[in-house]
Amino acid sequence: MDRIAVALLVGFLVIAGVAGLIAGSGPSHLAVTVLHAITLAVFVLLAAFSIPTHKRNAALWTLIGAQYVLVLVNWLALMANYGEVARTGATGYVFGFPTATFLMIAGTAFTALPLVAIYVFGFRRFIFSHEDEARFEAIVRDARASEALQTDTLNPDSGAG
Amino acid sequence: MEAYRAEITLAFVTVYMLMCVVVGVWAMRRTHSAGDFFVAGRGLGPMVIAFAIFSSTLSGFGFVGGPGLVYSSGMSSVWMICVSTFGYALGFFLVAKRIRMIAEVREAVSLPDIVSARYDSRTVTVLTALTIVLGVMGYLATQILAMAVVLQSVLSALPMFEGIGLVTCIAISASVLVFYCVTGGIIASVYTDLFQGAIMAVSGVLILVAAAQVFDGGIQEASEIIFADEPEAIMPFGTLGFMTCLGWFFVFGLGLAGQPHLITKMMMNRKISDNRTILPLSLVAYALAALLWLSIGVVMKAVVIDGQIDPLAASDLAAPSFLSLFAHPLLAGLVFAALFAAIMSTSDAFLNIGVAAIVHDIPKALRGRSLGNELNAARIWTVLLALIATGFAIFSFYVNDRLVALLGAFGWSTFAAVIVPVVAIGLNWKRAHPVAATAAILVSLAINFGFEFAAISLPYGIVSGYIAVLGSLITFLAVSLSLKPRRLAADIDAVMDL
Repeated sequence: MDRIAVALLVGFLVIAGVAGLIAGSGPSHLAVTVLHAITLAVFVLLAAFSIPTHKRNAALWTLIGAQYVLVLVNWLALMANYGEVARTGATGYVFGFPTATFLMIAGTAFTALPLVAIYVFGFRRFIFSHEDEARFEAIVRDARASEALQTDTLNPDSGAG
Repeated sequence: MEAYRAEITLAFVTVYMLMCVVVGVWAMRRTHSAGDFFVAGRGLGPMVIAFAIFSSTLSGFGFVGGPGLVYSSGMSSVWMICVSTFGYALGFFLVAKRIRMIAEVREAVSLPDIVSARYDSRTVTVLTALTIVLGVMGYLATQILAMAVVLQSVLSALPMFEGIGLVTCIAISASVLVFYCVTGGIIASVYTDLFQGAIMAVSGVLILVAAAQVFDGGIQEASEIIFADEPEAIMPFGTLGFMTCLGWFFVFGLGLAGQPHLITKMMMNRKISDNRTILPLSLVAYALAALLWLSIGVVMKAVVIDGQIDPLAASDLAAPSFLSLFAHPLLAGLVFAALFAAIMSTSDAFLNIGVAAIVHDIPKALRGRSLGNELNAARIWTVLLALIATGFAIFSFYVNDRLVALLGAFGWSTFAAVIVPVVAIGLNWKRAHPVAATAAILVSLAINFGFEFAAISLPYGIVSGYIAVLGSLITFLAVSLSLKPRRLAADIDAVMDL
């Protein structure tokens, strides 16, 4: 778990560092591309980090990896198209918007959907299995029993008849 | 029908407000305890929770400030909404399951209760509660002001209400809000959210259809007009540039998991497994409602460039102008009702968490127990908090006239910077330390308020919220890693293993 925290810390430090470099020397396409690619990696990593260690298996990392590749490809396509428009001064249109803008609006929203799918369809596998549910119910039962015991200890007459 | 546009709008708004009152009366019969008042007894179904989460996300900021930002700075602000898939997903991955589990195990009724259970630290609990109260005051004042401004524009269109004062409009709209919040607490809040959310989602779709019909060539013609005049405005980074857009992406993507009025709703569902239904439902409803933000902003910018209308006096007039010029009177009436719904659904959520902090969390942290007769105290403080926020709204209106949109963004980033590390990361990482939580809260408040009060502007449009969220996260992780881990309570430790 701590290894992931360190990875996150490094990720946030790199984001801060790149943002600071950009702020110092002005945003270049390359620096911005790298900055956002790291941000996307941190987002995807945070989702994985929320899943308990014992459930982080190869299948999960494959799904998380595929998710990252998808959002990264969309981001690179957006920046490539944006650069092209800057060079040529002309743009194509998709669903009423310039291609790069469409990739920003719909591309960013839709390419993150696999993360939602992992949550919805992988709910019993990665998020909250039937075994987890049974263990949780046991934790709640213990908590109620402990509360009842505390009440009896504080007020010995409470259970009297 | 066009001749009765003002009357139709007023009729829609009146019916909407009456429905809020009716729900308040109905919910009063179901509110028997402080637990009912603050977390609806953790017995709500997935549809109610989904709409409550989404309608609390999209406030007056989304319906007025959003289109205004597109009108004034092109596509820059759209990064705040296109990140929603990530935002909602991260909110559910990081928070939804564990906050609901701890709420049940510890009988928690508020977010500071969860923080108290997780860190067992009075300092962290009080700081979280104070941050909530502080944020709520700013947010609530802004929402009350927005509600009054919109009501004033609706009423003053009718000869009999011509010249109606802002303070009168504040009194009318705040009274409806306070009524259903006092009578029905969170139960009234979430059930009004259900129909408020439905109105907002339907309005978003209908407005997109209306916007596409303004030009013969639809949205593409509007885009082409903007591209010919000011290419950067319709390109993905708008006129504010890379760093503002990516800063908003970061703050709004990660920040949803740190909005107390949203994640508190994640404590209220009947079953944890309902989360797999709640996530897609709330996301789809949000996406539909957010169409309004995008479509009105683009079309209004294009019609001004095209010379069809004069430039707007203020960017926040984009949505009201579109409704009066291009929407059928019935649609305009519906959208005005949706606008009230957006504002009220966020306001009621803020009122509820603010009152919980004052009545329950702060007294409990400071003296070991909450105020006596919590339910009555909650109702009294709902009125008092609304009155204080109303006073703050009137004051800020006459002293500070900055855009509603920017105030909304500032509030969002303050909560994101404080609550994302403490709650979203803290609930997933056993090593998270109370000292680190305290440090992260202080760093985030210092950065957010320091930048705001000193009016510091960063180069290349870097948003201060970006620095605040980054600063608090780095502080939280670094301090936690540098300290010896603290032993967790057995039940919390067990819950965090699941």
